[in-house]
Amino acid sequence: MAKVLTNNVRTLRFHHQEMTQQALAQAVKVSRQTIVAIEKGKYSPSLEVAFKIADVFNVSISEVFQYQEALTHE
Amino acid sequence: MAYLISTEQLTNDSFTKLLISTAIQLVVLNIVVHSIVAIFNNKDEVEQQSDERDVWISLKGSKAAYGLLSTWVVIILVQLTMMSIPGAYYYFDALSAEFNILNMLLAGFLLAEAFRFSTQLYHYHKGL
Repeated sequence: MAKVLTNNVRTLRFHHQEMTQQALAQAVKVSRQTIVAIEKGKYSPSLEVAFKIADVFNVSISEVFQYQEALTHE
Repeated sequence: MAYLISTEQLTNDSFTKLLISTAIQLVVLNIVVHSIVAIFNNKDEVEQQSDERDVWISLKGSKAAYGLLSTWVVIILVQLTMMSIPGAYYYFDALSAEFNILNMLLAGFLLAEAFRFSTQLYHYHKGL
């Protein structure tokens, strides 16, 4: 089965004093729309941005982004 | 845009004047549209520079437009070759061959620009 890139950015934001998308975007130096696209799975960030996001939340990159088999809804 | 006005005006003598007036109209239209967008847009986002996603989508748009423009130019070149065939027609009878080709090239540039923006809009909406 094909693997897809997923992320927990939204959840991590919530657990970090309910950080806003704008605040995360400013911390990582991208636009708010880019954060929105990342959370929706419509955009895969570059390695640098991925590491910056993990850095903001003080977690490892694998806790933010996962490469796993696509879930099928039956 | 010259075609939309009136094809009777398309003569070799008036073509240059039409071309310049069309170019000026397009520049004015661009200024007006960008001003309106800037007024209604969020100031913080307007002041932000383009990030990696913007650059990536811009590249995708340019790549698509380049493909279209290249194909268009090849089609015009094939048409030029076919002009030597008896019975082949020009696009506008009132214009000479050079101005016909120029018109088609300009139409190709406009189409490529429209395709570039459409591709960018598509990727902004659907994602990469």
